[in-house]
Amino acid sequence: MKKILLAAVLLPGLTFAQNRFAQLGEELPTPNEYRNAAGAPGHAYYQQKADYDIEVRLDDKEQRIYGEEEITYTNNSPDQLEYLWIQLDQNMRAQDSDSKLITIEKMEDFRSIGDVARKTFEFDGGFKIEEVTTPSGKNLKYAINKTMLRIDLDTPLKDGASISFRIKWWYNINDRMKIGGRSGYEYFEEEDNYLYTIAQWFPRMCVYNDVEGWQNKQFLGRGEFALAFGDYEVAITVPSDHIVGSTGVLQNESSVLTSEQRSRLKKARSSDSPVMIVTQEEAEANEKEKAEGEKTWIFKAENVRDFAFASSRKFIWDAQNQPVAGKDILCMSYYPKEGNPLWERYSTKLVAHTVKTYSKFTVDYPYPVAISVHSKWIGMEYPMICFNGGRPEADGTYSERTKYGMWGVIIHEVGHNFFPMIINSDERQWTWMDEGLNTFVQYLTEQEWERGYPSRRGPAYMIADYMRGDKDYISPIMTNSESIWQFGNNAYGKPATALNILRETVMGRELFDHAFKIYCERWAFKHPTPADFFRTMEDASAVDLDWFWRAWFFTTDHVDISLDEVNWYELNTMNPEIEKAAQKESDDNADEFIGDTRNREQIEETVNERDDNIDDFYAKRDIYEVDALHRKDYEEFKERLTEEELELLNSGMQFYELKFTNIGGIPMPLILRFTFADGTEEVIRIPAEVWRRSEHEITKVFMFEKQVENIRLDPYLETADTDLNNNSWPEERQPTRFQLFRQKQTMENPMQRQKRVDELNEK
Amino acid sequence: MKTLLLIVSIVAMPLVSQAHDYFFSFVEMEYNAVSQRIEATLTVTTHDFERALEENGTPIGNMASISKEEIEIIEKYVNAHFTVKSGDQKSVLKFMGNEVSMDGTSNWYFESESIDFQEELSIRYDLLMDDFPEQQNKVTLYHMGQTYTAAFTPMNKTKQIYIEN
Ligand SMILES: [Zn+2]
Repeated sequence: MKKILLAAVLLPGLTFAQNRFAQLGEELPTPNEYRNAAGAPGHAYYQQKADYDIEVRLDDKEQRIYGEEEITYTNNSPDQLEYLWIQLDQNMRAQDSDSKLITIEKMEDFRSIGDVARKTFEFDGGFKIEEVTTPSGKNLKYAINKTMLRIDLDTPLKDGASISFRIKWWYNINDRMKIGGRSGYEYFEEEDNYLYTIAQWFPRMCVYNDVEGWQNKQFLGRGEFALAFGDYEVAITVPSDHIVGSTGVLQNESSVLTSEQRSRLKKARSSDSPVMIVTQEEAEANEKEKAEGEKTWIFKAENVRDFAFASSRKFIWDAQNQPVAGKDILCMSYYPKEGNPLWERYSTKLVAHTVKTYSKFTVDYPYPVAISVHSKWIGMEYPMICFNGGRPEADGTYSERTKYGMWGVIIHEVGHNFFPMIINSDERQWTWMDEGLNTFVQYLTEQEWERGYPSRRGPAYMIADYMRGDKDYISPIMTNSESIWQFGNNAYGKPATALNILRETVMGRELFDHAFKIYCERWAFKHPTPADFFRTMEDASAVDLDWFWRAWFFTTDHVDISLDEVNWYELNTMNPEIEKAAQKESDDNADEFIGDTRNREQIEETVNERDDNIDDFYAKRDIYEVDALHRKDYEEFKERLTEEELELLNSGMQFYELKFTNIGGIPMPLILRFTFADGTEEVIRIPAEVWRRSEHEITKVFMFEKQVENIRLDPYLETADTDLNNNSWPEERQPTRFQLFRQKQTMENPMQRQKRVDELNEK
Repeated sequence: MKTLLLIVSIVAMPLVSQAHDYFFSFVEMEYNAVSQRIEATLTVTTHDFERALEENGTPIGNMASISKEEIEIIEKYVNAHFTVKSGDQKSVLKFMGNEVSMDGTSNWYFESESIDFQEELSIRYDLLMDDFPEQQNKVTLYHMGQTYTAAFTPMNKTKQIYIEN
């Protein structure tokens, strides 16, 4: 009695902890008036607004930025704010920055003289804040904590109220090629020229919201940005021979562009292929002479979360129009001659394709321009503008790999306009929310650019190596950006794959695409959290996905489902004529013990063969004979059946009982391909919920009218199953990569082949 | 006690904070009991591998078509950063070929000289870790119908696998 009671008390707790299909009750924050249970903004949802009026001067001689801004901050929250937090991202490069201090180092990191130079390199980075004042010039009280600046207000900022203040600063621009960074400059030594890609260049408001209060987690270099929306007016002063590409729309064309450039730009606005605004020839002439004077380019941008620009006298510039939902978008590229021939040929077309394709899957691109700027290696995104790698060799040739690398990075970075520039998630907290979602739509966009495009991330099978086996250094996707092991696989590859699996296998394209678009529309120009995404995808599709989020986003489990056993049965027709004959046939065909065979030949006569009195009723009975009673029983049996039941009974139905084990932990749908004796195939898809009542081991019975010859689990590589060797019946080991390579090999070894190549080259 | 720091290369390659790092390599291997050799496939981000070899002072011209001299460089480099120890024997890998894929990865095929597989294998796999602090490597070993995996990071470059022979 006591024992049973104990089990009854313990069991619910136990099953809850183990249940992979339990709802995400504790893992997600409770819905509230700001974010509702459907995953949409709640009735009291609010967000702050930060408008910027900035004057900035780029000093090309000292490679410095001098800036002065007036920020107007509007408190739409129901709270009173005693202080304001502002981000000073450049301070990550300050000499006392935490990012340097928390980097793990070993002596092996000082292996080359380059390493030593890098480690001892002194760069006077970081914002030099000169003034924080009211618009009329009265000093404000402020304090700096590394990458964060706090302004203490005399009187709290009331809900619904606005405040304006001014900050004046300067900083040394980093050499992106030497010390890295999302922004900075590249120096072209031969001609003594600089190419600037300028970002995180001004003190920016932190986000204040219902989730984090002030999102003022320090910038350590990895977790990117959380930024409020606002309107910008920015006056950028640069050497007069520079061309500037920037977030926003140019306001003073007539004072910075030649009339020829303006008329080309006008042509580009209605052209569906790129039009040169500054040709390579013009750019090459321009980069040779260095003008002394300066020019101010004025840009305006509405409803953006950030602002970046690029400037150089080296820039070639082209543009074309891309309509999206009846609106014209000017797609543009800025690149030095070093980017050609690749950039002139592809960059702007890729921008246009990306804007168009993402608009289809997410929201209509809302901004008037979309820009791709060439940088040697990096890929980094800002509203309307991004900096992208992909540089051909110095001789103008490039490998196919470089071409695909450039295509991929442009699609990816332009794609970031949607995640997180428009659907504005908190990057500092959740890298996957922008990188994962973006990498997923990047895959869709690549596949529409070229059939069979060799996408790096997206297809399920490509994540298997990372997810399988040893979990020592894997983090769940739901891990803070700064604590992730394996950033690339964790925040880009795995979530992108998970979404692909939802789309192709769990939800289907139609349900998925609808729900995904709803998420994008709900949270465009707002600040979504993971729960908002998880909830919307379910709410808009009526597919319970809690098990999927739990397994893919909250654990480090992997997919490995094994087809362990197949048992084959046939229906007993109960018809004695058929069953007795079948029994006889089966017995006749049974394997025979060798002693029996030999005895039959060698023993001439046994006792009972000789003596008639030995065999009795039992010995004389023919067990295969159908007698009258058998027939009568069968007739009575038939009378109890309907005609349909009888037909089914005689259909020759084959039964297969399959046993599966979930080794990896993630419950996934069972996709089974049965190949029959007659060569035909049938694919059966069983939803993952089949694991609901038994998480480790299940059996399932399949009925066919034909005999099955072969069964394959996950034949279309759609579940990221990490071990394909236990996916077949009869058991079939998949060849290793090495064996596949061997099979492809001719008798010639690579050295012999190379010899032939060398010979050919000599000719 | 002071140890003299040996500077092994003089090539200065800037380490750029790539916004889209990969830093993951993978070895799939099987012990061929007949030939008593390890058959291994190294899958790596081609660009990372290229940079590491440059950093090592041994740049490879074209990963898709490597010369005889470059094969030696790669063999030497891979043997220095991926070893399987079994008892007092240590794997020596011979380059068998490679395939460069347009998705940014490449496969490098190796076969070892004959080696006796004992119960305990000690695997060191620190490829690319000198160059990329974020690097993580993973091994999958197929042996006698069993699958074994091990993950490696700069803090854990060596791991033991106990096999059932
Ligand atoms: Zn990205």
